[in-house]
Amino acid sequence: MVNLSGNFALFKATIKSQMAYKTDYAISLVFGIIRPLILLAVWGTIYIGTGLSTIGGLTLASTAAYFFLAIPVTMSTNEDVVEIMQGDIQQGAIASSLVKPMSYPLGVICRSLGGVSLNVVLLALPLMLLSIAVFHLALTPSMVLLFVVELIIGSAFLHIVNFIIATLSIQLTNVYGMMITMWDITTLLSGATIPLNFFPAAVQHVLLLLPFSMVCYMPVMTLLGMVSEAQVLSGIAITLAGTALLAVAAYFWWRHVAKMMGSAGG
Amino acid sequence: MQRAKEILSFYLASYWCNMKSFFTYRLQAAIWLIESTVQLVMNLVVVAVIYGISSGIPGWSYYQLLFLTYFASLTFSIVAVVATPWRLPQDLRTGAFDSYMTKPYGLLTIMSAKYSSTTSLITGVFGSLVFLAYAAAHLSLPATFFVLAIPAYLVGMVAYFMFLQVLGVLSYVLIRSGSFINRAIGTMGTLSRYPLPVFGSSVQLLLTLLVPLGLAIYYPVEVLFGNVTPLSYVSFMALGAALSVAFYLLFNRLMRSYESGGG
Repeated sequence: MVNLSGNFALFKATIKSQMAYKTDYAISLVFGIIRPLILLAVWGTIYIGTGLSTIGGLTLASTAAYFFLAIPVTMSTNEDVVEIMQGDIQQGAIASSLVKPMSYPLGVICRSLGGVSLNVVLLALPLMLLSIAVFHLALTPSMVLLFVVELIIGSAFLHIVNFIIATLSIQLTNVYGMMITMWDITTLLSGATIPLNFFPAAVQHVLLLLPFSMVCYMPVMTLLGMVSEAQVLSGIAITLAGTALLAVAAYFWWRHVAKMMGSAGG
Repeated sequence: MQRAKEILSFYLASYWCNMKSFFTYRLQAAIWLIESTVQLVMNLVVVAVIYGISSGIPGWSYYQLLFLTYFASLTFSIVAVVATPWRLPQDLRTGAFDSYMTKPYGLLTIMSAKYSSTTSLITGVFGSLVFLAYAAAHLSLPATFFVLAIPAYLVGMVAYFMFLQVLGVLSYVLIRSGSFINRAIGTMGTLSRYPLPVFGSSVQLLLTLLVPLGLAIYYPVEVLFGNVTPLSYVSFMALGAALSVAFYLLFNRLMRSYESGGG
């Protein structure tokens, strides 16, 4: 039986503890605006220099909107699973967590969702609204609905992938390097660094078949109205299938590695 | 002379200790080296995508932009080898720096000894040099330009390094957070991979006169490409030297006001 109230308490506690870092959120907001401005300057120069009105099917205005939306979307699908679980293992807090009458993996995910929720409210939402206003995006209810579904699925996919990485800290103690490597790969494959349209056609097709596109590219393109519903639905189906497979693998993997757990910290 | 030998010996002993502790956890070390390599390859992907889909940045060929990208990567890696900038606000905040300050060495010596990054040396510096050599081989740069660029680069690097140390202390003094410097370095990393004129004259001026990012990366590359007049060259050298001194004095001033952290 899932201890819902216990997990909700963890979710709320994470929000409260994260609220202590208000300055960090303000800093993230400022840099969340600076980064797309840099990319806009670079790609603006490229568009003007090349003399083309569209590159990879995107006009300069759409590319600018893409970069401004990619930041809040990535903030919304991001997670803290590795940092939470690795911290628990390094400090030995996992021992006391495991004796509690609640599922530890679910607790970790709820704590991560607490951080993500705060990111969404304090950072992603203001940046998204600003981008929608600046670029005059005409959103329909179905676009918004699909966008929210994509964000949830993209976030679920990243949570599961990083949960598997986090479990490796049981044996390795420190998986921070692995987490950063995964982050680097995710930003590239999800279109957070460069829109997937800019890749060669063959590479683009392969990237769209991977669940990573749901972490940034597909939600952003949905808001821009540049993908058909069929494309979105096939992307959702691919990511759901990938996430489900990984979730099953993570379940069995957790049952296996949980037996190897020792006590650490002090 | 004796004092210099003592400092060098302390630095080398600390550096060797950092290196050994990094390789004690072999798997961790391998993962960090892979991560650093992935970042290097990602830089190549970005430049390749830009030139694959367009004619790129006007006035800059594929190999020139590749050279600038890896020159930036090399510079950031060297800075991290000398002293990883985000470690200072972290240690000031937790109070870990207090114990270092009891050692009979200067602050910069202690920081260089304690905060050197082994990953940055192995993959950052050597990896960037491999890509730089690859790009340079396609650019046929004259040796005389290298001779001119090296002093400009060293002066710019010192100015940039001291700027980062000031930023690190300010991060702690003003907001008690290491998050600011982390994000600032990330932003500067993105800025430095592209020619400064792309960002407009006001940003270019800012990244030359206040943030010596241009002096450490963009202008030395322009010297290598033969695009800098003798007068500009001398101006960059003088500005780099002036900023180095100014940031050094400011760093010491700020550190004097530091009392104790942690608790």
